[in-house]
Amino acid sequence: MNRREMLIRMAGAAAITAATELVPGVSFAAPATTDSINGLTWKKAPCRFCGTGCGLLIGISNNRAVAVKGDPASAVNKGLCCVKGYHSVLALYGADRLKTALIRKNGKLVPAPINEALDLVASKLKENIAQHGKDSVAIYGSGQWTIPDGYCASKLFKGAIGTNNVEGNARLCMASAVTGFMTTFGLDEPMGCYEDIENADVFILWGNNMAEMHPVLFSRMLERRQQSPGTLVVDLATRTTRTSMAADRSILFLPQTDLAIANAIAYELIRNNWLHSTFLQRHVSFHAGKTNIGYGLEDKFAFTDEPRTIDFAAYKKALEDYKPEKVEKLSGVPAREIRYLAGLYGDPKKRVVSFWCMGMNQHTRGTWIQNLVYNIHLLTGKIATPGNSPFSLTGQPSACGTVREVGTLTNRLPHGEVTDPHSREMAAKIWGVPVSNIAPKPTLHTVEMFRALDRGDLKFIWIQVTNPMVTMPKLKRYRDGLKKENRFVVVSDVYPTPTTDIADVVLPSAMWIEREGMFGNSERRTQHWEKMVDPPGEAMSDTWQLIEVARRMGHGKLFAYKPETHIKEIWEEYRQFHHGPAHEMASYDELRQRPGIMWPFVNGKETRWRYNPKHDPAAKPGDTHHFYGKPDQKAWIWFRPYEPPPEMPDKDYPFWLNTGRVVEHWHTGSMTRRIPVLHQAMPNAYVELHPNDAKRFNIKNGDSVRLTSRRGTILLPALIDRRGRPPEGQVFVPFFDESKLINELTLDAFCPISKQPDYKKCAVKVEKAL
Amino acid sequence: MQTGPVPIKSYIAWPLPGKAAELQSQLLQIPGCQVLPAENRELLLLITDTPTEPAEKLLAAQLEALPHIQCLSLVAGITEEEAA
Repeated sequence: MNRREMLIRMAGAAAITAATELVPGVSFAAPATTDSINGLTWKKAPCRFCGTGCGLLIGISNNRAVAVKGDPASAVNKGLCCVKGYHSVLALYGADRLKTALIRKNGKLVPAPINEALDLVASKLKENIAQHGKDSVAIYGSGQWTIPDGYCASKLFKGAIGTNNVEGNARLCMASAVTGFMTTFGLDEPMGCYEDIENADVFILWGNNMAEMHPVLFSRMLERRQQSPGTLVVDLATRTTRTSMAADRSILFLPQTDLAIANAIAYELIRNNWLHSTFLQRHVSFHAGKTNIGYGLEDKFAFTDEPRTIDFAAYKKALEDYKPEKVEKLSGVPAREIRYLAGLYGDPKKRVVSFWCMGMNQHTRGTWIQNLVYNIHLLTGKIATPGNSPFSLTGQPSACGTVREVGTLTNRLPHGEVTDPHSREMAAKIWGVPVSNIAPKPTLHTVEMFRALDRGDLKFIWIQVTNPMVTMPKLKRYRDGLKKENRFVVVSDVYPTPTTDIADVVLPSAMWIEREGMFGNSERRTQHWEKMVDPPGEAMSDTWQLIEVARRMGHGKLFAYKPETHIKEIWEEYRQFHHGPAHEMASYDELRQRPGIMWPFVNGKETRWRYNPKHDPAAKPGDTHHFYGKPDQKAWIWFRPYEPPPEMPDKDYPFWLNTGRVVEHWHTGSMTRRIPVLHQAMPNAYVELHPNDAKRFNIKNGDSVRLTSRRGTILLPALIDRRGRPPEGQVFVPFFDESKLINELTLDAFCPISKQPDYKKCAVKVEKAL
Repeated sequence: MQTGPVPIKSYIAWPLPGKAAELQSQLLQIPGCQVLPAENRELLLLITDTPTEPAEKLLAAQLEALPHIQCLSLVAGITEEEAA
């Protein structure tokens, strides 16, 4: 296939994607050209972008990726892709791809041999550790790290150096999901799988614009509705989106009041006795924790919850504050709509899936809202059976696989918490280091890590596969902090970004199919891909960069992997951490052969529904469920109250600001903005306003609008009724555009339990720019 | 295949009710047109590849003259230069 033919295929793929979004359930036969292309080698890989984990087949010709099609053998997407997936290989070939290392000399980044750059990184690490101690250095990675990348980062920093200064940007996107799972079930990650979609009767989307963020799963859901008349999709959100337009019912609530709505639904379930009494008696215990827990706005903020057991009567009494009529006043959701939602959850004949992602995760009470949605499923017993599933979707391709399972967070190890002696002993044994190397206390979560750089407590940071100079909230403080004297910043990436702009050393990374790796998606599915094409210039995988630096620091024995087999060696070493029926991982050879395998993988069998003895090898037989993660062998229902966010609209800043993504772009756009068709489809960020607000300010489409918060100001073109529509008094801005940095305005408040910032709520004022 | 500066374009073509088959047949007779019909809806995807601007203009005129099109929505336009 020549290049022109490849472009024809891509244009066709874009049309298929657009048609699929416009016409739910539409299907097309594979283009006649797809399988008749001669001279291509097709190899499997998970998509580079979101956490759905679509299986792709990549067409390779002459050491170049020239075509993409959905993998029909993938259980995730069954041959379908979204617009980003179809164009994914073009992200490899942007004109300004980083091909050599860069070192800052006399204030300017200049090209340097990669070995010189790696020498400098290792020497700076050693120098800072010698002068300021092991906790003066840190690594900040990503849910886009491959599993071997994250494993080597954790082994080097936690095992060899001995600091827990290891974080991933999943702290900004999935940390509340983790603490939600841990506080309710004692174990992380969903109990269900995507097959729940084909088994559900009702889908409730909690602040989740799936049509743009998870379009392939959204298509699967709409296909289910078409195949099974009566299936309902309810969009419960703060803004009208493409998802709302396709839903059967759109319910808008005021920001933060999802907490009260969830409690009101639970109140109604109890009031109507729509409870699964047997399930509750056997599998649930009731708890409460601290209240008025703060927002983490001050440096070195600390919080520890104090759970206490309560009984059902105390829980029921606490919910008396959440009668639908009262919650209507707070949330703007009519009481009848709350009762409607409770009726859907409470109908014993309906199987219900709740989906959510950043709307519930990026929330100053992110852990609490997860608890409250689990409560609803636990009260009704609608959990861990096909079609009954509270389902936390993931944003990044390996937020689950790398950050959560490998444990690249300050508090985690590949198995368990750093505070747990048994987990430290296991890590020390597998890594071959003295147990005393592994520090027993968490250090810096992400926001605090960047605050420590600003303060000067942290001197060195190595940033891989992420772009915090676009994504950190309250950005100016953290950008200024990294630019201060005596901070040393290393950035590994594939393109220049605002983060490489402030680096002292830039390491060029091999991207995606230019190296071998594994990702783990939202449904516990691990997917392997092989190296398919050579990386450009001296670009090197992040895994091998870490190995090279570790060897230069004198840790060669711990990183004695061979270049040709290192991914296999690392995987087989890593999976020892998860031996046992609750988390057994597939072998390297099995992963190579199959388009993804869900864990626990025991005796050649994937686990589709955890805690369900019919499916889960770790669950004791003899009952419908076994929640084995908590010491009491039960799932925990938590009473968690509504508490307001730290900043709300007022006289000076009368609008809510909400931020997020768009379907065309992945995160900060550093890859997708280099794909011409995606860039042209969505070339710049914008501010969405309600038409009545626009009229009030005499703002028309395309007019320049100034948004100002207490932290910064930004100019954006207006977009009115073109993509989404916020309610009056609210605005929405996507964050993909590095020339329009909306995080100059956002607030670095976070959930005190998960430490995940809230990018969905702060106060701004709106002015027409003249 | 000869390369050219004109973008390859893709469209969603909505036929008049009951006219999908006729529209597909007519589109396939126009040089530079490929058609992908939906399997379960009255809907066509059209991909156009023309070598020169005059050929592109001619194609546009031919498309406008088709009697069975209800609506033609442009989805993508990609040039070799942009994709390089």
